[in-house]
Amino acid sequence: MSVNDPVLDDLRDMFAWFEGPATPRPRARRPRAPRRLILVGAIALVLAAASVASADGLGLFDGGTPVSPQVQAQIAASSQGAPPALDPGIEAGTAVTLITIPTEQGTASLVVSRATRASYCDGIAFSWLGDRQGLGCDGPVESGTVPPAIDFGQAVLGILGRSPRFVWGHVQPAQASTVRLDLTDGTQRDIPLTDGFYLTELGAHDQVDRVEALDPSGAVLAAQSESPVGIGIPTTTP
Amino acid sequence: VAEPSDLIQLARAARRGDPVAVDRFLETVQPLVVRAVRLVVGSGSAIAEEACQDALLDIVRGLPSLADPERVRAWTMRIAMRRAVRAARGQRLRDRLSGTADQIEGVGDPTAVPERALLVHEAFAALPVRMRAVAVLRLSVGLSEQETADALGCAPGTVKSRLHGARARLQRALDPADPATSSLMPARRPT
Repeated sequence: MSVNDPVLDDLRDMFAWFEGPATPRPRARRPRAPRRLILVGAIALVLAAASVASADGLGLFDGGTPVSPQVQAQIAASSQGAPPALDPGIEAGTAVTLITIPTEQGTASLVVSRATRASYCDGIAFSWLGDRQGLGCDGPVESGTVPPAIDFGQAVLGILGRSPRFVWGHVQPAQASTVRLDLTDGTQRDIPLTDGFYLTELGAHDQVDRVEALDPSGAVLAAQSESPVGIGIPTTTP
Repeated sequence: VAEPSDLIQLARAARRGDPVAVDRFLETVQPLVVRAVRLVVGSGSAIAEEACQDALLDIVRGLPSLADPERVRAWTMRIAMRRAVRAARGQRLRDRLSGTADQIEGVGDPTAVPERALLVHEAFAALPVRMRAVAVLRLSVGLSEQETADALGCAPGTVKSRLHGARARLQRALDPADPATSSLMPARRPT
């Protein structure tokens, strides 16, 4: 059948009207109650670490700095009105900032929120807040102690416009004291842990080859060497 | 959209893990992916937006395993359609259960769309998801029959028959009294 046809031409015209702008809208977890993005001027990375918060009693929420009301509302909105399959189970008003780092495009934060139950994304939800956001949910945070494990994810440029590039993740804090990034150019970078979490910005051409969790003596407790292209890499142990 | 040869080169570099190439590759395919997913799932749907982003993330994750950069457009659309078809089926079920469409602001504003396009849109939304996917890939994305077949995991003949079926259903829905379409209606049993 020829694709030049009045009916198919109607279809093409309709496509042109309905295809909309070519960029995805920020990820919204309230499908029936559209949220409006609040331009907070800062980029926040949100982690809803359900298993960590509830299972190992790390006291994350005692040591963190409460986030702004706007960010709190954004996080809570993830659960408001969301159908069960999309609800990360955010406990509203509990988000705290654990780590803040400066970037070329403003401040980036790692924020952890209590979760009421295991979420559909296996316990960890994160999203950018600000004028570009919505990297979704991936990579469960491992809160167990045996065997030790480290996980990490990488936010990739270009999905939602120009964003800084980060590596972030979690390791069992009772055992590890530092995270070491091995870059493909042979250099290494040590990153401090905050309650087991870490967050660092990558240079434009940095490629992570391996992430290691080190104990205070420098011994490798756990490592992840799978290529971190994308976000949310499964955990492995050496 | 970049010329196919540019896209192929970008895909090769991105597959090797060059972060700049990954970035540029995504910027290049993003408009195609977003539009195609939206059209299959339903523009203005929050579920469609989720599917767009999930598809883009799947593409980033899948780049290292891209086997044939020469066919990167079909590969990209295969990933996008997997998400789109799944989301569209879920969306349809939700709409049936709730009786309301899942709309968000700002995409596909119906107040600005001509009546004919609205009618076509309504008829298109009633098509089976696989027919919608074929129509979008062939008529909006511009894939060939073979590329569409690759993207949807079916035979080229299936692509042809699905597009034919989509056209027939649309024509019936848009011009039900047109004698030219009457032959497309199911035959009535004599009473």
